[in-house]
Amino acid sequence: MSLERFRERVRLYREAGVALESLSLGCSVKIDLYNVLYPALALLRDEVKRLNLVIAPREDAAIMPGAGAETRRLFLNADNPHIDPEELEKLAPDVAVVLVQLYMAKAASSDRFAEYAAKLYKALGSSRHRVWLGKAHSIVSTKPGAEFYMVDLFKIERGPGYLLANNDTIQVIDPMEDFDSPLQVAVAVNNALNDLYVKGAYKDVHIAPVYDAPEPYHSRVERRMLEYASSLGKLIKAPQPQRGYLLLGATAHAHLDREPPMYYDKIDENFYIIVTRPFGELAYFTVYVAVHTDEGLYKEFEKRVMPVDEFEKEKRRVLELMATPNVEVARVIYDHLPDLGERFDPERHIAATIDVSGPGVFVFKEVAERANVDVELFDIPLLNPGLSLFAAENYIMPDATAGTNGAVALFLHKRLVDDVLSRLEKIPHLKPMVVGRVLGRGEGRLVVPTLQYISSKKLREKLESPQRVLGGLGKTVEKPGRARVYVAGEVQGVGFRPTVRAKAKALGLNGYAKNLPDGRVEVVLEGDSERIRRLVEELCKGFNCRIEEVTWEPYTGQFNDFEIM
Amino acid sequence: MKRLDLRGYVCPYPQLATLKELRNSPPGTIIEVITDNPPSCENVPSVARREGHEVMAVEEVGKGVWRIVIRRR
Repeated sequence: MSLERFRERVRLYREAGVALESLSLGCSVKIDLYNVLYPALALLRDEVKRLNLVIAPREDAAIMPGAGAETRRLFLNADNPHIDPEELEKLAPDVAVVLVQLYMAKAASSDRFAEYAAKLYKALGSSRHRVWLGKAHSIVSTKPGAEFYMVDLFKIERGPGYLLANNDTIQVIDPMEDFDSPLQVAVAVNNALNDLYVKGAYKDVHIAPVYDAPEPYHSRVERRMLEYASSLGKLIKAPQPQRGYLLLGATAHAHLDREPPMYYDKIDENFYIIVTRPFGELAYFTVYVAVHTDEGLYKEFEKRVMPVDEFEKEKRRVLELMATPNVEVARVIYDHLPDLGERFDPERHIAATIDVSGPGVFVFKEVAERANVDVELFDIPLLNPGLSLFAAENYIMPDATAGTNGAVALFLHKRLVDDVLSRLEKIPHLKPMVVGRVLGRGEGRLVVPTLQYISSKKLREKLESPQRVLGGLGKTVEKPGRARVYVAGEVQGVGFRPTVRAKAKALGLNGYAKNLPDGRVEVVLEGDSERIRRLVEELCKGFNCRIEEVTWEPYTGQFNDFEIM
Repeated sequence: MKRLDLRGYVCPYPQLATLKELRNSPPGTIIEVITDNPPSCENVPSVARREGHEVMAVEEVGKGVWRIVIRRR
């Protein structure tokens, strides 16, 4: 009987010092992005201006120009994070990827969370060496002692293309699995890789795992983790949190020798949305645990959805699906990206991609906001719509469309749809389909066919309004500006313009870089003034050149890309 | 007044436990829920209201601890 198996699990977890009811499965998998994290980061904007720190626009992964990287992992105290500025200058990292595990009371509201984030920013931004904060992943913990900041520092090797880096870490996926279950480990590592794959990056993959477990299980989890990570990429051995709690994940990086799919400004009413497979994975695990803790709910579930024995089998199949690496999807995306420096062609190239992760249908709104378009979904393709509906109606999940990574959404021109669909259809575990279209320029509105899977009133309101869920973190330009810069020195024929373009793209800036007959390079940048200022300051980094002249001009909005001329 | 101490529990257990308690109590019963899970301060009252119960108070009683008072309809 499933109830006995469940009770045995609860015992196992309790013996390991973990209360099953306190594990982040449902609404608190991560620090609440829309109500806490994004507003907190918006509060910190002025703080960041005073620091030697660049915050990249929110993307699935940190994206930096470069061919490879050396990495170094540090652990900082969550209450008093500190990095010796001299050490930071010596290490001279280009980008930091952060994993935060914070006690839940500290993530209660955006201003409380901002206090802690500000401390981390200060630790990273107080040396003379400038650091880019590429991506941060945060987890809420119910255990006060389990807190930490983990900082993976990347020193980028110069070279053509982009380096993409990401951390994704979870506490548990399916509590019915063992701590060192191969499936669960595979899901966790694939979670981290999916954010790279979704941008078409699958070459030269490096994986630095993250794992933690109560003492008697630690070495088994470690063995499984190292084994699995080395089967998918080059393993980087790095220090671990060692808090005796549960964690499974990785910081992964890969190289992309094409232009990343970040052509938000090219998206218009001729674009459609493909999803590679149905999503809503989280409903399986959250509902499973919920029905086993409430007899009434259990009976109701069997009556309305399916027998629990059958549900267990289906849950297992979903876990296997989530554990399947998405590298073939990455190849299809890669094959539809411009070569380095090549101009975007809507009939050949995918404009934008996003991983359908924790926010579920909200990810479509995130892209709509970044692209300043309105989007309509005709369908919300869920793995089991009846199950998600049950989760919503019984208040088990605030948003029962939540995924965990793995399903990928592509924004592409209507002439490209058939070609990409037929490529995706050949991949065995997928079920690709067109789920929506772009209505045209707009305010980032998302029209959905139904709201029945979202039980939270607050989330419902957010979904349909033009209100920005991304806060100031999208490509939203806070203070639009334009700068014209003349750079002199060794700047022609040394890869200077591609480097500027790659950095501009990573910061969401448009414009051009042009060789002048007198040997100089003219760079025009448009977008957020603060980001332009930061980029101008480091234009010559790594080159033997100097900035001769910077002129600030009125913003025109004439560009929708960064081009080399 | 019944007291439901749900400290240490994260979503969805606080709202599920609250609803269960309300369902099993006679009309008019007042239930006090104690939680240290921030999203529950929004979820528990919102779920209770949607089921027709009256939310009488939501207040922070200590650092990171909240008290939610609900009257069964």
